[in-house]
Amino acid sequence: MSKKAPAAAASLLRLVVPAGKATPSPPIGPALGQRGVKSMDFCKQFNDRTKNVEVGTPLPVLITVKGDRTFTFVTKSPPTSFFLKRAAGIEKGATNIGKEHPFVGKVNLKQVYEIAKIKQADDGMGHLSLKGICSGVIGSAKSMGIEVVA
Amino acid sequence: MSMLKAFSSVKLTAARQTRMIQVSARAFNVKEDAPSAPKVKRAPSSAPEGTVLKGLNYMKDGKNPVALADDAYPDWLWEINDPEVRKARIADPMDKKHHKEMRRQAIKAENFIRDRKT
Repeated sequence: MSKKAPAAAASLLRLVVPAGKATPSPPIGPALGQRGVKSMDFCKQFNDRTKNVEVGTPLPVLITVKGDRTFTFVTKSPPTSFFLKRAAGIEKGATNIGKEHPFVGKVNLKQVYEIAKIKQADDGMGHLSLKGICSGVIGSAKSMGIEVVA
Repeated sequence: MSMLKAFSSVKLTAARQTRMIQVSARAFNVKEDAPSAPKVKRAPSSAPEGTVLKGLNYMKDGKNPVALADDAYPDWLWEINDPEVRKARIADPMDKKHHKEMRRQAIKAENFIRDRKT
């Protein structure tokens, strides 16, 4: 370990931030502040970058804070559960799932296909086939108590 | 069997002759058609063509996608949610899923035996 290593070390921070609304102290403030980043800076940039997105849409963000306290961030597509709840028309996922519990919502295969298409655009999905992503979406639906019908 | 004349120096037993015919037949693609994959049963979609798929748009100036005709979607879309397809894959010894399931059952059995109170 050379002496240069600590100065260049970057830390990663994963957050889910509602589009267009940033800087509440609880989620973002302390997380960024600990790494020496002014949360106001991040929030201005984030809100600017997400101005075309419907306000309040949860967006996962990956923030890379470099040793000299500068930061870059990447915004990804909303969580799959967000899409599934909207497509099924429900507010919350199921409290319990399984054979004894009824489904709380329904989604059809074409909606699953469209959700997978949106997710495919993300960086992390480059190695997955659309079929694989669809399987993943169906898996998420099942664990939320949402039935997938034809 | 003119080609067999070229091998007149070789002792042509019945078995060797059959074998030569088989090999040359394969070379000319003379074989029965491979059994076709079972046709995926497509239940008619609950969202016929033209239905607006709500809730999927999250951009301010975007619109919700519209469902296309069932034929426009690939076959595998109906496969991935079909429990029969899944069962067939688990039963097929050449499929990875089969071995994963066997392994899973073996682990469960071993854990059961290990955890029971003697």
